[in-house]
Amino acid sequence: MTRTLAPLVGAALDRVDGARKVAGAAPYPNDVRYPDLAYAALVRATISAGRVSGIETEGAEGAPGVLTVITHLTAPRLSRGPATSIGPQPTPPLQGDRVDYDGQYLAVVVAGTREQAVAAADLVEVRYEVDEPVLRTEDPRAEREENPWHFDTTRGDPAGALRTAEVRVDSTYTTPHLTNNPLGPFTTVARWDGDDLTVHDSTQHTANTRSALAGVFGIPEERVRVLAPFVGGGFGAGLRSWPHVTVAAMAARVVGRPVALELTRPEMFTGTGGRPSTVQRIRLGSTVDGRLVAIDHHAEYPAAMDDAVRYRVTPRGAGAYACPNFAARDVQVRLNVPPTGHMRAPGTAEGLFALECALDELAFRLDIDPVDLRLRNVAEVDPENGRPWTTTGLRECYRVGAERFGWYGRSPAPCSMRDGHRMVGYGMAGVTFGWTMMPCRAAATLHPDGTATIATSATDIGTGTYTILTQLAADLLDLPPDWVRVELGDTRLPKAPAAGGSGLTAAVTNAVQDACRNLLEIVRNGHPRGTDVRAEGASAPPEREDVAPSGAFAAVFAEVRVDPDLGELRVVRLVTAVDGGRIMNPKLAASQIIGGTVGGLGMALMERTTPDPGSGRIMNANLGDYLVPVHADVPDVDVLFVGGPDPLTPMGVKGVGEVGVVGVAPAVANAVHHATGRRLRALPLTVENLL
Amino acid sequence: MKPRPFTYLAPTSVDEALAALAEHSFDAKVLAGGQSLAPLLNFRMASPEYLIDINDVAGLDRVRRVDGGWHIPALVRQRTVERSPELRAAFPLLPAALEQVAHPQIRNRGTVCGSLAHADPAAELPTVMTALDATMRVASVRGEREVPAEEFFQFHFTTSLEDDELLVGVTVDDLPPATSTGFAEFAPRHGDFALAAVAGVVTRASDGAVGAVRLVASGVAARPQRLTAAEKVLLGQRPTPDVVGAAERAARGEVDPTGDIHASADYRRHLVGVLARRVLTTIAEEGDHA
Repeated sequence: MTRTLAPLVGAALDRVDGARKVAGAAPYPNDVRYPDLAYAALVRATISAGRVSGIETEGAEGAPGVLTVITHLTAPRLSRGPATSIGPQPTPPLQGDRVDYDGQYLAVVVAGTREQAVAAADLVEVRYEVDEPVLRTEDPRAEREENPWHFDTTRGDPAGALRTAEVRVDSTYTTPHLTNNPLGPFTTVARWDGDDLTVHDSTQHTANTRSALAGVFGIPEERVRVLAPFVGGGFGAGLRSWPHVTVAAMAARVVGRPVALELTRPEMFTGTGGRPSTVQRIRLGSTVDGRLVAIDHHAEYPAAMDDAVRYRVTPRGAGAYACPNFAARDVQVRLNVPPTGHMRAPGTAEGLFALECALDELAFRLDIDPVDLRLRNVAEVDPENGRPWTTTGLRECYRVGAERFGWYGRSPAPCSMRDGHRMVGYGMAGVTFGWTMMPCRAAATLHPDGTATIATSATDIGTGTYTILTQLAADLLDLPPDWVRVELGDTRLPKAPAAGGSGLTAAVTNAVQDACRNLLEIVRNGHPRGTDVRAEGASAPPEREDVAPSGAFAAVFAEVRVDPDLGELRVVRLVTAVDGGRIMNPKLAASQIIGGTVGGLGMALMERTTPDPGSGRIMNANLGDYLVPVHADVPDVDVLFVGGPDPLTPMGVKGVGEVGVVGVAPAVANAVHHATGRRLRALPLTVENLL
Repeated sequence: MKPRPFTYLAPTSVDEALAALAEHSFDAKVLAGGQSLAPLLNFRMASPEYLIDINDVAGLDRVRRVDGGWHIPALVRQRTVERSPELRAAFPLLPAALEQVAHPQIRNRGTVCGSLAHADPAAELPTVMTALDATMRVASVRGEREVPAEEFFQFHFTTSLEDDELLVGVTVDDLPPATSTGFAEFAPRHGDFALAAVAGVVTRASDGAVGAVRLVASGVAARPQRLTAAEKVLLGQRPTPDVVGAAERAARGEVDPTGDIHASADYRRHLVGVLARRVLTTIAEEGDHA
């Protein structure tokens, strides 16, 4: 076959689903309607610890339109679904009288309309035996789990190296509890047909929701179908099958009708995970010429009482800095908090905030330029196993980013740059983002009319999977892009991994490439005219002993203005240079980095989920009080891609899902130090702390 | 969420609107720009039985020159005032504050009088109208009355409007000669209600000393707060940096804000001082050059 069209991979194609989304024609889970659809509303715990001593449902049951009220006393018995690569499934809901966190589901009301369900849920009366909640990691009653996921690492003799280091930094950093807050409220619409369950769900991982529900209800996976062709954002919140998904399916089974359960914004704060707060102590040891001799990184963070996700704050390989002596320790502390989850570069964003700020402290102490300090310590091989990296774009990120930003035009001393009465600061951070890839399958079908369909169960949570697979298949099959249809988000399609961990694009593009090649093979060998020709393909993480997957790299440069009287902090400029391997679509990839940058800006400046210190209830569980940046808060964001295809996989993709988030908060914090001489070690970088 | 059911009334004249208010009084809410009321309805924090939409009422949508001042009737949008060349020239304080009210989309719809009748103590317009010593024109079937801004704003979201009364407009008198104004606020996130704001109106005597001054802060009390101690410091003095510094200290000392999850009480108090100094410094420089 001869290539007759310009290559589309690498071209800035517009989103193929853009027009449908703008027209309101893309079906999100809360758009799904069935003729006899019933609606559920949740009753949530108003204490953080204790037990339900009584629950009165008569008033709700007698309210207009109510079909049933399900509590722990009447709910069917459920199992916990199978554990996954990101930890156990969440605790099944309504299975007992124990209350472990404020916001835990205690009852569900099902009615003919959403309004009836919400009104009746108000009539359910709950009595409690209240216990004193454990809300702080320093509470002596709190159960501490050292090394909970067996990630702790020690190399060399970090304690000895710290003792003898010529220069030391020893600092403690804190990051707050954060909430993902995708724009689309998570919704599950569940329908039973005998023992067959169909679920429309706000998920980033259809296969996980399927296996979770199959496990919970004790039915074979083949009897569960999960659909998520469009999801209103995820940011990691959709990686687990949360209790409300189970509640919706349970309610549908009980009332014998399809049931829709759409979470409210306050319910999103307690029911879909989030980033746990962290306290991190970092100790660095260095020579006077800026060679790291020791890194000791200790992180503590909460987990819910009866639920925990696989988590790691201390970055693998210490952010890929060459350092002979290294220790990383994680501690999870059980508290009466809502289940934690995954949010925008989970763990890495918190851990690298601490590490990249500590390096800035070291650079200042040594009077070495922060970029130069990092360049002196770039790990040429994977520090964990000594293997050479598959790519080495980090130096280029520093070089290109610094040049575009005008980094070396800064006056290095803190408090030395001004703009009128405002103090000006430049700050930067480096990012290495761990590489992830999971097995993936996809199908390619050529139709008699010459068009083709690509199918996989993967979800496109707004990042552009529909578009890049269209580009890829059009290239491989030599078709115009509008002759290619991409079907996603359905467990009846070949099984794909989560849209998470920055790993989907590498997995799914390699699988689609394999499927298209297999399809072409069949076509070349001749096939009956007038019928569909279908081929499957697969990809799997390569098992390589000779190299180490480098993952994505980035360097972030930030300029801030600080009004020292008001304590006002504004970020006026951001440059991010990214090595993301092969960039499938520079427009979408840049949008992804800009989106990540805005998320990082929120983390740096304003986001914080605030619990009431006495009761543990979240005080700002709404978008009026949980602040995310508005357009006017976001400065020019300049995104540059460097590097090239990663030879690790045929497609050369690394994934750019999260690498854009990570460096923003430390770059801004370091810029604040440069502007003011003040070292803020707590996020968000609260204005009051600048006075 | 959606509002509880209500009866929608759309009068086309002030008399019809007042008659509806007289009939339904406490059970009715008046809808103008809806930028505060509509969310309250949707969250069911307000559940009136009658919604009286005054957008079809004739004659309330144009600012007009009146004897010695300007009149802003009830349907004039915030953006209209912000962009009006006449009002910008007469009262630079208005655009200075309005540019910081939420976002342009909200100002396109929101009305000046709606914000005043809503009386959010953190909002810009009640503070600015208090500083300008504006007069509220209040009408009901019982007749009309005039209420000075300082008496109009009473408490959080509470004005001196009776249940059957409509704020038909606000009148702002021309500023005396040798008068300068200033406004400053601070919100960590653009477009949000400010943590604190200060508006100032200063008239200088022929010797350059402060002859009259109104300094008002928002976000620190249940209604716009006159900074009377700071005003006393200024009266009769030339606004030198020392005098302005003394006024800043007085302003900081006379407010008693409460803290919340967005800012502590101490920080708000600090902000009032800094903002007062900035407003007064701008005013002093302008007056010295006049």
